[in-house]
Amino acid sequence: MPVRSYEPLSLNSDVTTTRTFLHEVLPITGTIFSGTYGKYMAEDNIKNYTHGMFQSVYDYPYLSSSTNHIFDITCGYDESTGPLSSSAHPQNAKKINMYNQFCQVLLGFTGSDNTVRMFENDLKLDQAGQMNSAYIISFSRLLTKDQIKKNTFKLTIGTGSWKHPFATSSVKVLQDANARVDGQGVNTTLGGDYGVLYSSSSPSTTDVGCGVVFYQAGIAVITSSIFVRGKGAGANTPIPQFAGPAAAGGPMTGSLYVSASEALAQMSISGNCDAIRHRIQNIQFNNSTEINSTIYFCRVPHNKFNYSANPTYLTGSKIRVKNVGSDTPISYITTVGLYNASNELLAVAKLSEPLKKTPENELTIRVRLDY
Amino acid sequence: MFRKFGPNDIILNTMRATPRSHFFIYDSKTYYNNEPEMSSSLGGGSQVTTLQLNAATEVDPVPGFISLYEYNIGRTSGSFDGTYTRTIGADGDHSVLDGTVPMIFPYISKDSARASFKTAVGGDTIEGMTPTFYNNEFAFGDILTASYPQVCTITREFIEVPSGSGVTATDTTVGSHGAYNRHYVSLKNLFNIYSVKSRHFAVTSSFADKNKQIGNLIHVPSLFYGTKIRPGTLSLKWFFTGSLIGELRDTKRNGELIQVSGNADNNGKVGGVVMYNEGFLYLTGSWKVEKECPAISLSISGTTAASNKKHPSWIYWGAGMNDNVTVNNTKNPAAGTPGSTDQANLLSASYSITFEGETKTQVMTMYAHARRGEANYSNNPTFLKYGQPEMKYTSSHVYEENPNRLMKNTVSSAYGTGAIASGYTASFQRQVYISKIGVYDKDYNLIGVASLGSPVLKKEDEDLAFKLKMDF
Repeated sequence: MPVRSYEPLSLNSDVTTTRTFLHEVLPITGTIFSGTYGKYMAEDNIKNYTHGMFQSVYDYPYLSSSTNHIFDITCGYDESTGPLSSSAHPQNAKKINMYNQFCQVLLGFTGSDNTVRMFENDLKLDQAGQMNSAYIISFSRLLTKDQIKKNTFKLTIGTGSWKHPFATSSVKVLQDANARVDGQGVNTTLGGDYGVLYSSSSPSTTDVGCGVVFYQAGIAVITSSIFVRGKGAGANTPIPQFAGPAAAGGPMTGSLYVSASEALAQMSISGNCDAIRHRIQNIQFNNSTEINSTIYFCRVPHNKFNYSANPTYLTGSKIRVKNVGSDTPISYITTVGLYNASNELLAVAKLSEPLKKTPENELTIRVRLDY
Repeated sequence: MFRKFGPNDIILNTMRATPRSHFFIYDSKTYYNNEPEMSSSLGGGSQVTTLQLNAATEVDPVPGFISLYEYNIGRTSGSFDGTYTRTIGADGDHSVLDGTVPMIFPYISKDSARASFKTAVGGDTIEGMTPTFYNNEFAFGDILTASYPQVCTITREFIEVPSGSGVTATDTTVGSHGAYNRHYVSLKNLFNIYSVKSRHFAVTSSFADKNKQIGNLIHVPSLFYGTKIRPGTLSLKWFFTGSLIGELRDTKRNGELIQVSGNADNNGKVGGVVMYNEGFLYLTGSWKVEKECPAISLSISGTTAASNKKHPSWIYWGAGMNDNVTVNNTKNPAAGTPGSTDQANLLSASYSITFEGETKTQVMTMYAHARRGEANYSNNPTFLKYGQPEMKYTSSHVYEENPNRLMKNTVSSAYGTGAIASGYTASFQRQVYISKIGVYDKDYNLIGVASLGSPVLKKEDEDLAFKLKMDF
C-alpha cells in the first residue's frame, strides 16, 4: 500500500482552467454518396422515407451496423414563389413546409405580422436578396460536433449539363470565404452564427452569395440560382439540363431534361435530392469540439514524499534504493491522487514513467482533467 | 409544473455486464467474434470498420481489430486538397469518383494548455508524444495532428529471453547477461504480487524460474473486456488441421490456466497464468499438447525450415496472431494453395481464445410521478379550442384574458368515426398527452429532457409513474 500524504491545493494558486479546441478535418467526397454502394438512385446508403420530406445519406449501406449518418438533404421554396408554388405540383405543401421550417428555426420571424424570415444571400437580413428556393443540407451532429469551423466550409458542385456536370468552367466551389473564427464576416441569429457561401475564394464586395452555412446548427443552404449559365450566350438563364430523364439515367420521368426550377416544381423532393447528389463533387469542412480542462498544480516539496510504503520498497527491512545507511531517502512517484476535503479519493493520475524524488529536489506535477 | 423527487424516487445502481469475446486465429489472421473479412467497393480492398490495412501493403485489410472511431469506414488515404475527378459512366446513369476518399483526422494547435495527442505526426514520422518530442518539434501555434481509425486487437509476443540478469557466463540457457524483454520485466512485480493467489505466478519458485523460461505473452486490450476478465470464463484451444488437440481453462478461477484436454499425461498441468485485471496471459507450458502431432513451422527464430518446426505446445499457441509469424517467414511456405496436404506448415495450426469481460456502468434511475389530479393541463396552444377570443378586455389600463376559453375535447368516441360513424362525440374529460419530462436542478435550471417514444395519455383520475434511466 503506497503512502498517502496529503498536500492541500490552494484554489487561488494551484488550480486553473483552460479551454482547447479540438478540430477534425472532414472530407466528404461525392464518391461516398453517389453511385458507390449500388446503382445510382437505388444506392444502399441512401435512405428515402415514406413521408418523402428529405433523404438521408450514410457513409455505408444504412442497414449495416457499421454505418454512420452523414447528412440529410432536402429542398423547398417559399409559398409566394411563382411559378414554383402551385397546388398542381407534386409535394407542393411539403416543399413549402420544409423551407418554412428551416427558415423559422434558423432565422425566426420578422415584421409586425410575424412572417417567416426568408434566407438571404448576404448577412444583412434586410429582406433583400432573398433565396426563395433552395437545397438544404443538414449535417449529422457526429460530423459537426460543437460547430463547423468558420472559414473551412467548401462545397464543390457541378453546374454543367446532366451528362457532364463537371465540365471545364462548370465547377463551382462554394465557400465561406469571408467568415473568420473571431466573428468577422458572420452574423448571428436564432440558429446561431452563419456565414455566406461565395463561389470565389476572395469575393469582392459586389459578389453575390450562393448560399449560407449555419455553423452551430450544421446546416448549409444552397440557392437554386447557382444552376444558371455563366458568361456568353444565354448568360444568367437556367441551365436546361439540371436533371436528366430516366433514359439518361436521371430522376426525371418522361424523356425531357429539365432546369433546376422546373425540377423543383415538377419532381418530388427525393428526385431533386438525387439530382443534387449527382452534382456534388466534394464537401469539406473542419469541425470544432471545445474541451474544457482544469489543471491542478500538485507541488511536491523537497522534504516530503521521499518515502514509499510499496512492499517492494523494502528488502530485509532496508530501503532497497539505498546502498548505505547514510544515503538520503529516495522514492519514485508513479501516481497522484486527488482527494476532496473529506480525504475521499476522487481521481487518480498516473505518470507515464516514475519520477525520482529526493530531499534535494522539488517537483510540480501538472494534472489536467478534461471534460 | 415542477414536482420534487422524493427520497425513494432516485436510485443509484451499478449495472454489471459481461461482454463475451471470441478470437479465432488462422493463417496469421485474427477473427474477432467470427466477423469475416469485409471490404467496401471504394477502391480495391479498402478498409471497413474493425479492419486495419496491412502495414506492409497498405491495401489488404486485416481483420480482428476493434475500432474506436468508425468514421473512416470504407475510406482510403488520399490528398485533402487534391482535385477530385468525377466521371459519368457510359450509360450516363452512374457517377463515381476516382476512389480517392481521404481519411478524417483530428488536429489541435499547440497552446498554453499544452494539450496534445498521445501520438502525433512530426516530420515524416509518427511518434509517441514524449515531452522532448513535444517541446522540440512543435512551436506554439503549430498544428498537431493524429490519425483515425484508432484500433486495437489481441497480440502475441514470443519471449525467448525474458530476463538475463544474474545469468553467468557459462549459462547458455538464456541470452547474455543484461538481455531482457521489457514487457516481461515490467510484469515481474505483478507476477510476484499475484503469487499469493497461486505459486504458479511467482517469478522464481519450485516450479520454475520465469526469468529463464521461454514465455508466450498474450496482450488483451481492455476494450475487449472492460474492468477485468471474468474469472472462470477463459478458454484457449489448440487446433491441428481443424481438430481440437488441447485446451487450457482457468477452472480454479485463481489465474492458473490448466490443461483440461489434450495429452492425457499432461492434463491438470498448469500451462500458464492470466492476470485478470491487466489483461495479460503468460503461457509457459512447453510440453507436447498432443503426443502424435507432428512438428509444425511455428517459429521464425530459426535459420532453416527445419529449425523452425516445433511440436504444438502452449508456448507456441497463437503463432501468427499479430506477431509477424506468417506461413512464408517460417521458411516453410504452404505447398501450393491453402488446403494443401503439407501438415508441417503454419496453415495446419489454428487457435481460439474465448473469455467474458466485466464492465460496470453507473445507472441513475429516477421515478417521475404524475399523480391523479396533477399534470392535467398543457400550455400547448392546441390544448384549447381553436378560434376562441384570447382576451376578454384590453385597453391602455387593463389587460384581461378571456376566462371562459374551453379546452379541446380530445376524448375519442367509438361512434364518432369509421364505418359506423354517426356523428357522436364523446363526453368531455380532462386529459393530456405527456410527451416530455424535464429534469431540473434545485435552481430550476433544465439539466435534462426525457422524450417518450410516443405520447402517453394521462387522464385526470390516473396515477402514472415514469421511469427515467441515465447511464454514466
